Amino acid sequence: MAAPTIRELFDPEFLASIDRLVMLARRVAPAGSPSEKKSKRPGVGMEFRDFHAYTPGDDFKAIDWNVYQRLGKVFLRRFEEERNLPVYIAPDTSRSMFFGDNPRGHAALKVAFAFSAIALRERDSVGVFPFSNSADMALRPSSGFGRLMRVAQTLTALSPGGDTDFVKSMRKLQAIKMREGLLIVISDFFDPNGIEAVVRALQQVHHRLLLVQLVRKSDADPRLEGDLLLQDCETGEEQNVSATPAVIDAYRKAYKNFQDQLVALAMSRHAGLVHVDVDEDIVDQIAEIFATGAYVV
Amino acid sequence: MTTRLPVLWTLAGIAVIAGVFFLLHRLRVQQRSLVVETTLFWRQAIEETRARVFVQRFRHPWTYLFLVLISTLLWLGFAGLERTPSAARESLVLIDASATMARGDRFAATLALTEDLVEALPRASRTVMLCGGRVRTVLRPHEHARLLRERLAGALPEASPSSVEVALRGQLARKRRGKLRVFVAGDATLDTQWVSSLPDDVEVVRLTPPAEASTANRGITSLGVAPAQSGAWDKIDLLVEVSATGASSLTTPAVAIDSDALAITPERQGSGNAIRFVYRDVATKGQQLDVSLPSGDALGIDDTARFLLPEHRQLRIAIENGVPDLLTDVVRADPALSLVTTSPDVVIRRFGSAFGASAPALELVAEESQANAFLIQHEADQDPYAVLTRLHDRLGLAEIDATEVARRSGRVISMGASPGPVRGLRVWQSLFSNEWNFVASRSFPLFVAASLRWIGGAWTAPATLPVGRHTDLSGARLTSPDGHALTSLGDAFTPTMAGIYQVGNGRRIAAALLDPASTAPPQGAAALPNADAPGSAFDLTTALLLSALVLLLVEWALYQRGRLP
Repeated sequence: MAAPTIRELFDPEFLASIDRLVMLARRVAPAGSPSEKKSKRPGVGMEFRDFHAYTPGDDFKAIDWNVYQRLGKVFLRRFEEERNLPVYIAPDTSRSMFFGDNPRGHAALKVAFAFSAIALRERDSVGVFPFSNSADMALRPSSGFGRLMRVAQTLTALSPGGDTDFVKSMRKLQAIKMREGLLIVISDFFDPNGIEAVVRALQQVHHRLLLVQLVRKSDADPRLEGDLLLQDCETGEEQNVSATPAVIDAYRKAYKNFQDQLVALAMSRHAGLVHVDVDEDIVDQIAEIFATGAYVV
Repeated sequence: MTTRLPVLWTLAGIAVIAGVFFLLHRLRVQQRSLVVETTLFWRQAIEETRARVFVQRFRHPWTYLFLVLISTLLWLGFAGLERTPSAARESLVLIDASATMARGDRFAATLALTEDLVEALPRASRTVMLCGGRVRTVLRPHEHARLLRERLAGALPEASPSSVEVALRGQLARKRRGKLRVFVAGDATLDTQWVSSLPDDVEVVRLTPPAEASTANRGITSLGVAPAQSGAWDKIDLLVEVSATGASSLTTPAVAIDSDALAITPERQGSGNAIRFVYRDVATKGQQLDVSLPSGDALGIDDTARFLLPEHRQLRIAIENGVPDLLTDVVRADPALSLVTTSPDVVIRRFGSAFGASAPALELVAEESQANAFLIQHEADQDPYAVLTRLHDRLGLAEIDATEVARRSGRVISMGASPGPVRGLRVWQSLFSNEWNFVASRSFPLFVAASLRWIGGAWTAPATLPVGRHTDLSGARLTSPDGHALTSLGDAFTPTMAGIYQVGNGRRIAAALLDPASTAPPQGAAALPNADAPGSAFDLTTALLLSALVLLLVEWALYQRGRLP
């Protein structure tokens, strides 16, 4: 399935709801944007960080003379440089995301647009890095709310396809030299190699993480009956299934294990994990997240 | 339990059902194809089902069990599962098709009840017999009940007494070990004493429709002739007995001879429920006599009777000169015989004489020329032994004092028979002498008269018989009123239906119902317990189908609750 056009995806009603979302995000998060974070790099900010022994070439204006009087040694007072983290939007564009009548991919693009709008309003830089079995930089990170239209064009120009392979995709993403930022992964996380491969891949990512899982109610509670030959839309793999109650129970257990591992990953990485039901209104769900503060990474 | 299908077929059917369903369960199912976003969780949820293989793991034992049970119940219903009678009990259904069943629509109602009963009886052990004038087996064990309906189509009560008891006695004589339940379908009466003496393993019950409202009836119950009391040899006295039951009146019967009304006023004898009408001096020449009563009573079949009057024809006898005068005197004394000199029916001559050479003859033979005192010459197609047996009595030889004759003659007195072109009788001439006591005996005139009648072919058998009564007609070839060729076996012949029987030699015998039991059923007949109404018992096939339905509902309920795939 091809990506939708801008008009199809971002209709005026949706754009209006994004405006309201941005206002809501500013009201409930006065401290700054989701990506606002003290940089590890010492700089010229106002907040004291630590003392550092003088070495030739250091800025002499940073010498703390009070310390020199008391200790007879020269130390520099270092301050933390306040910098906004870049936001890297990583929507999953694998085939499974664009399957069916109401594909998760559309929801992923809307989610990506919503987070982009919020970040750009906060003067953060936003880049777009779609992935499936690889990752590419579709839009170089840059700031300015005026770039929102550019983001929208980039999102609608994405080409769906490929299998989901988190290991390869995250490795490719790591290979792109970018400073540390907030990586928003928007996906169903259905990697044919299993949730273990997803966890392994995301553990290696050095960015802060916000995981947006696109779900449907039928994911946890499939409504299938009888003897079925299921075909994976990505891999083409066929699976004989007799949808007996016992098999349905086993499916639910497998899905719960998948969810548990995803939650464990988020907790271990101090990452956010957001569930977005693709069959419900996307903006309302994100707005609810901001309203409850659950967005905090 | 047993089935209408052979047991092996039934078991094979069950095995096939179980086998087919087992195979179907092992066959790879035809899945519904569905493309999904991921098979990740299904793969973990189920054991891999191998594709492109002929069989798969046996996965649904409960479904299989339900399928086999339901199908087996349906198969057993088709196979006609039946309860096995306890202790291999056999059933014998005797349908009364006698004259008494001609009342109203009792016969049709009885047949309907019988057909329903037979449907409910175990197929392998039931026999149905139709007991009219003769007993016919209309359904044998293992035959389908539908055949009974076809075989009884067009069956009607016959103008004959009930033969149910005769049939039952015959079946009991052939009865094997085990219990026998006899259904008497209809109103046939059985002897109370005999029924009560039946063995314990024989149960007799009655299957009969509700009694008719009106039972008033009258009928002809006896018909007979006797030599005319007036002494005229060519006339008879005719007796007609009419009986009545209920409110019926006893009316004088209408009598016609060869379709002409008999102009003789009868004498009425007796009173009560039976009146005898005696018609005197009825001329008899072998005419057909019809007796009838006004119709409109309960039973019409006993309102008419047909009779053949005896054919009293004078035999023409020619006697050779030299024959003892004693024989001439006997011939002269018999009004049925006339002495002639030309065209005789029978001649009396000495053996070897050419007198009346081609005519049947009573011949006197020298004692030395013949071993037997009496040598009968009969038709070639007759059985000599049967002829000897029959004529020994008919010629009055049983009445002579053979011992005294033998003592006086010093010879063995014996009878012999041999076939010849015409009938004849050779007798020792010395028997007609006064030395021996044969001519002095009272049986001598009888012997002469009977011998001449037999040789001359004068018909002596009774011309009218009640249906069902034996008569001496050994070896005769007959044609029944409905056109069937019959041959009497042994010495006895029993007419089984009313009407005129044609006898081979051109003569006829009339048979009439004349059964008092049919006209007025006796009150003292055995009271038999009634059989259960057919179909009242719970039908096993219905039970099987209901069980299958219940199992189907249980399976559906389990399926709805997710207990079955």
